[in-house]
Amino acid sequence: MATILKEREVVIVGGGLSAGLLARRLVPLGRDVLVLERGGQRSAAESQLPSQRDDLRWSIYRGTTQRENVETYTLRHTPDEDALPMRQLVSFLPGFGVGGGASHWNGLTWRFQTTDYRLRSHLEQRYGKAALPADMTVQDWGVTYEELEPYYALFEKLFGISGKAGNIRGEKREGGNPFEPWRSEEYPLPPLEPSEAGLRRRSLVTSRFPCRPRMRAAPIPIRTA
Amino acid sequence: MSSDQARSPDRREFLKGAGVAAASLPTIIISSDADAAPATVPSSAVQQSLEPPASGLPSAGYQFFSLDEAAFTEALVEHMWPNDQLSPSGIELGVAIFIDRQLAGAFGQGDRLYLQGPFRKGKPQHGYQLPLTPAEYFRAGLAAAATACRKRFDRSFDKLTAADREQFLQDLAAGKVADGSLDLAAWFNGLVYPLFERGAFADPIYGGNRDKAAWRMIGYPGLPATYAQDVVRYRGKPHPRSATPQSIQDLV
Repeated sequence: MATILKEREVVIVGGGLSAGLLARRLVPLGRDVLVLERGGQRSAAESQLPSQRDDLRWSIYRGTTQRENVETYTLRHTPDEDALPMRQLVSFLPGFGVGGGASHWNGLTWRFQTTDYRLRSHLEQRYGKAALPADMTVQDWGVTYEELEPYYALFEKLFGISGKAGNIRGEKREGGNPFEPWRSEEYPLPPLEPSEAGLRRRSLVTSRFPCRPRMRAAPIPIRTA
Repeated sequence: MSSDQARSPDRREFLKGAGVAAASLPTIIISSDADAAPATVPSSAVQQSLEPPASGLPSAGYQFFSLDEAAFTEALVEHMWPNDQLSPSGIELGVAIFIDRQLAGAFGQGDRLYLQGPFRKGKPQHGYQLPLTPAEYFRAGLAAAATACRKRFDRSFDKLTAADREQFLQDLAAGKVADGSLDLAAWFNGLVYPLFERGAFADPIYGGNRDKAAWRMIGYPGLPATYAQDVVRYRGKPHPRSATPQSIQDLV
């Protein structure tokens, strides 16, 4: 027997990161918002020390991700092959429980390139209309990077993203990623300290390519939450 | 859906005998036709051998292992992690206990594994496709490996010399120990070895890595390993907690 809940103005299905961001905007506007999440609430103790560092529970047995016997996917590698169920998910790990994927993400928040938002125009412009097959469905998004940039910046402030800007309004900055799309301002937090392994890798790469300093093969501080 | 419903009929057929007899080799046939029964097993395999291993009783009270399985697993962890000047042995470290507890518990029972049909032999890229929980898989693989071992050396794994154990395990991992139905290399590399690794290095609250001996052996400070300020403070130096690592229990 289905339980009929009170009618709500806004229902968000799935209590992950996007739901939180949406609700954060809607509730102050006086909207009546209900978020549905199948995985339940997670206690504060689970996300704090020492439980937080329980690698077997959280990392190896993936305590925060979608359980395969609740929902999984089928897989085939060619159209004429029989699809088989993925009995253990390995690299694609949707979240489970309030917080969704944000409870086990790697904290990496790359921005899309400016050309990603107008990919068809960009490719046609660069390679000619004939370069794209007729059945290729790639499209422009209808919204541009320029329009979305303030929201990228807002998100980065909300999540305290750290990093080093490589391009502020078109002006290249030393030490940052020279290939990132332009940003309106520096990252909210300074880059993480490189680990011993990070430093060794950096010196290896820079010594391997000393004659091509413009190649910028040297690792850059990764943007992270 | 109840767990009974989740266990499809063809899976029950399989389970009638896949598990238990160390002496008889279960014949596992993963059918290319999903509707056909995926497994046929000699009925003699249903009875579990109750003969204790001649080496005596196992070193611990096991919840999952039969005596034969305990003897095999203890010999395995003892060989793979011998007692030396660096650390105690695999058994002393609690690795066999850890594996036993994991197989008896939620992981072993496949608490999150998708175990409904169709069961077909997929390509390696399809990943795990057997109708078995990890505990059943461990048991079936161990039975097949034990049979192959007897066939080759005329004695059980725990009675082999160190050199023969080494050769047998190397061959097992390299796919050179053939079984009619189970891919024993996939079993060893995909189930046994990871369990061994977790038993050695997981937090001691799970029964392995006793006294944090494996962490101390490699100088791993335990939970404080990722404190951000320490990344700078101890960069390129041994962590001051290398010899006295902290586990979950220390921070409760």
